[in-house]
Amino acid sequence: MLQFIPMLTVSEIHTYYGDSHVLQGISLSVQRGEVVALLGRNGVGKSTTINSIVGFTPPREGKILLRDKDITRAPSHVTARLGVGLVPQGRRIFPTLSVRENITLASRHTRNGGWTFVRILETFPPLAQRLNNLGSQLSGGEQQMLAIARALMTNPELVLMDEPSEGLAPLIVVEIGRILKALREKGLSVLLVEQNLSLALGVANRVYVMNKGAIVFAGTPEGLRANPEILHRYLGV
Amino acid sequence: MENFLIQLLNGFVSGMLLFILAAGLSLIFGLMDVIALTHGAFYLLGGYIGLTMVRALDSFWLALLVAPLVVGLLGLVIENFFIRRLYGRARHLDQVLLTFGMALITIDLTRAQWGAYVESVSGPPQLAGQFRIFSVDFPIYRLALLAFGLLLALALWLIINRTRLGAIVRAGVSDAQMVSGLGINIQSVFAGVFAFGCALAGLAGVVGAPILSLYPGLDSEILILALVVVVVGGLGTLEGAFFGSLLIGLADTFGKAFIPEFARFLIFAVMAAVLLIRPGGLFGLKGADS
Repeated sequence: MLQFIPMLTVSEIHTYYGDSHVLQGISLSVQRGEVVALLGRNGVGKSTTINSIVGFTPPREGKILLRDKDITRAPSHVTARLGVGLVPQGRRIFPTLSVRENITLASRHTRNGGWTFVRILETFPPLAQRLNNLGSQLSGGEQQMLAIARALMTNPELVLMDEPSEGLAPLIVVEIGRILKALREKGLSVLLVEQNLSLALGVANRVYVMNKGAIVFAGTPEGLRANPEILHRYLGV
Repeated sequence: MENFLIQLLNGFVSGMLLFILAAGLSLIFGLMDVIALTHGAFYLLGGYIGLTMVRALDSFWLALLVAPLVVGLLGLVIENFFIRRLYGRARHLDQVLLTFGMALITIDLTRAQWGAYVESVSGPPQLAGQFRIFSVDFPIYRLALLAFGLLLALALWLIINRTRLGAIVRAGVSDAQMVSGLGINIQSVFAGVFAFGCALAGLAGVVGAPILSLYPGLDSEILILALVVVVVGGLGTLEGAFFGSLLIGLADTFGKAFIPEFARFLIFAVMAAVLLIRPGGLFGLKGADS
């Protein structure tokens, strides 16, 4: 049951790459325990939204709150330490580190019952087989699991996931969906950027659709399914 | 044959000295994408500080401790107030100008303080004398330097490959932004690595002084060799700095001993040959353009 406690509140942020105005007043929110999907075509600003929240490309205007803490211009490592886990686009596994090192690099134990190395291996059995392999030797699906495991080891309250299904075989995408549902059951808050509509709508409590740096739809997965106009115009379905 | 053996040993010694200097240069380059042209000047500064310590206190061992500390602290200050502002710039020109300017200032200050004459430094008396290997006598000090370089390489290798700090540094070499995205303050790791690299340059200056002496101009000679080592070995890898140093140390020594007219040419011929076969350097992960 969702108690409406705000986890992430993004208000009217504007982000630029040089002179190009990429995010033009994005507002969205994630409540505690909620999985929120951010959808839209390539290049509409979904990843920039994630990068703005985590501090890689800080917004020029607007405000980002984590719980009630202002993280708008916080350095990335501060934001991460406040409880934001990042599963970035392209996974960004450290290729020269072993799988074990990738998992434990940023491990932080913040409270009892959190993620530990042992629990991570139970949740992602394929990684347990490959602990001494280098990050660069994993398959795409294994790398994605590793990216999720690496973020969970920081024991985050909110996870930002940028296209976890990108470039993966359909069977692996199903597996990623299963992992996402399991994380939702555990009460983790997730902001999920996805191109894979069925994966996103299968796990999300709420959905935003973006176009050209702005939010053009906010609602439930059912509401989006019932809106062929939005589906067709902005998601090409 | 005896001459060959002596030159071979000299080549290894020269390689170890280069390694102490180039290890820091390569790590700084690989991790922070900063070309620290201050490294030659800091080598010389370390040597001069050592010279003063040896003359004033008559202790080479104290010089070995103090010079790296002073140069490392200077590196920390420079990183904090200047270089930090230039991270993430797409062009290298800004930081090349910055570190080159700082190298010039450092060299002028050392010249004002220590003069422009060639200064020789004697090694520690405990390591004076010669040691007979097969049929040749070889200075004990140089053998000690060889052993010290090997030990330092081993210690650095263990730190980089077997500790969490080392894993953070390796991760930072491939993707510093992602490391910060996981809650690690990569900025302070940068500062630490920069200061440590500068301290190693200062250390190299002290241990190199009994062999190469100290004089204005040595800074750029040694910087060029160290830069060649970094390119040959591959950016940001300790293994690259180690084997690159040995290769360039040997090429430099043999070149000067047997074909002095082509000594400088030989180093760059070796570099060109390595780059033709492996454009990223011997142990390079990144291409030459990244």
